[in-house]
Amino acid sequence: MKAKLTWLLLLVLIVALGYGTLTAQNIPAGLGSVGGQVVDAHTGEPIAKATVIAEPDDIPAAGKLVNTLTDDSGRFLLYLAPGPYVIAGSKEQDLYPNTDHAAFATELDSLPKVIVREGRPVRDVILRFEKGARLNGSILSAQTHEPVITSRILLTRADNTRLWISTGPDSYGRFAIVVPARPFKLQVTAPGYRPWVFKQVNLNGESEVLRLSPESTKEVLIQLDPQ
Amino acid sequence: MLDFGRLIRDQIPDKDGRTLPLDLASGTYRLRDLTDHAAGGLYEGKVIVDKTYGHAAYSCMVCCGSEFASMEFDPLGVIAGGSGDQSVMAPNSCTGQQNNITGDFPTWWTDNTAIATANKNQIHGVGPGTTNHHAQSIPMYFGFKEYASSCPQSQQKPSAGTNVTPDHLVVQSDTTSVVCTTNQTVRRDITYSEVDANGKNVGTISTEEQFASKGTNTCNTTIQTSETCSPDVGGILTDHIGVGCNSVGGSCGVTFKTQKWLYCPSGGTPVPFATPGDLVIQNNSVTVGGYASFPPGTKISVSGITLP
Repeated sequence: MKAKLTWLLLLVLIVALGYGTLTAQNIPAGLGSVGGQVVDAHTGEPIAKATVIAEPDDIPAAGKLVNTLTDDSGRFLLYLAPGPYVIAGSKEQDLYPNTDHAAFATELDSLPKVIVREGRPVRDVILRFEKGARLNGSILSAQTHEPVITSRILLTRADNTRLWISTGPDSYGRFAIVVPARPFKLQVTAPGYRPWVFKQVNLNGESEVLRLSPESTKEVLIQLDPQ
Repeated sequence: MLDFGRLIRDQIPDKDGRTLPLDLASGTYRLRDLTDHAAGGLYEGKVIVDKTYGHAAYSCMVCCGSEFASMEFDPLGVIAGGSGDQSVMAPNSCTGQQNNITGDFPTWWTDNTAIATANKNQIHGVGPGTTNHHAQSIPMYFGFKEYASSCPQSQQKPSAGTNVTPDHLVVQSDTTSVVCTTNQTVRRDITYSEVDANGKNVGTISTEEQFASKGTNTCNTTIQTSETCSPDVGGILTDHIGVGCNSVGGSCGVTFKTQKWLYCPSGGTPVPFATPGDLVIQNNSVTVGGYASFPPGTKISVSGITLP
């Protein structure tokens, strides 16, 4: 029994030493690393194949952001130049919105912030993703019924109107956006067309606020009237 | 059989009507094989013409051929999904004249058919990467100018590098969103697919960006760009453009002139394949090549932007 325990402790020590050596050796020169795990905010289950993005916190990017995919246990490892970063991510096929867009982060302050130092690993960063909903739609000309690919879709957070995101449809005039389960206002504009604003009638009367339940899907047909 | 005596005596004209002088007693001649001129079938020698008996005495023969056959383009740049013509060039050992002897090289191949294939001297780009292509000649005389009774034949196998590059970028999505609520600072994220000449995604490649110049940033922020090569997984490139959370409060920004995206071949010099144009990055707007947004399908080639 004692011999077994000794061997077990020795094995743990070897694995621990090996892990430390491997991590240190793997960091490319001039970089540091950030590792951690992506989990579901409610179930705590790891999320595999999620995209993790490191957004420089004080240095804005005009180029490619460093990103990676989580492994089967939701773990990730990024090699980054020294500096402060906000760690964000998404897995839109499983309805986790892209928290790299401020409007899609449920709580801005909840995104992990790290400081990367050369040759040093930052470990055990936890990203908690909340499931959102899928907003699908088509944008057509009311006159010709042709897709309006020059249109822009503007989503503004109703609970914080300073947060917004603007994007376009695909070449068929369709869009599929994974949004957080938060209240939004939806507007569509296009050159040569009158602006379109989402409105719905509920118990309190007409509302421009669109709020989708987690894991739901809403289809919207938008027909733009020419000016 | 060439009878100089008869040509002189009977004043037989050539195809241009010219005749040999009646008092011709000696001279040199050059014979050319009209069916195979590029292969070096060019011989010259000296002849003594006996006017009395009407025959020519053979003196000697010189072997002339192509020396140092080499590919015209090394490396040959080809666009994925497109083709480029290669030529085999060689100087003639007697005249020194550079000749295109591609026709004597019927066999062509490449080292990696996932990158490029060869159809005779036409090299087709399959996917981005670097490989070599080769050609093999028919048996023919290669060598220096040499006086000899026979001209030994051999085969040459010139080679050259092949650089296959992506053709252009196609806009998949273009999103602008607020990144800093304090000053409503925005960031624009343009996602491109890296494609070949037929619009097919080329898969994971390495790219970098370059700028002709960078203006002064009035936002007092340091903008990090991607001017070193890094991989784009699945041939998808997302360009994040913004000034970040500026500390000056009001309107501010910077202009980066002539953004270019370059393909980075392994171990080679990066090659431009898309030129979006000037980035005008303000705290509250970002234009690329003069556009605040690109519709999906917008094509960005090395020569600029084409809207769908």
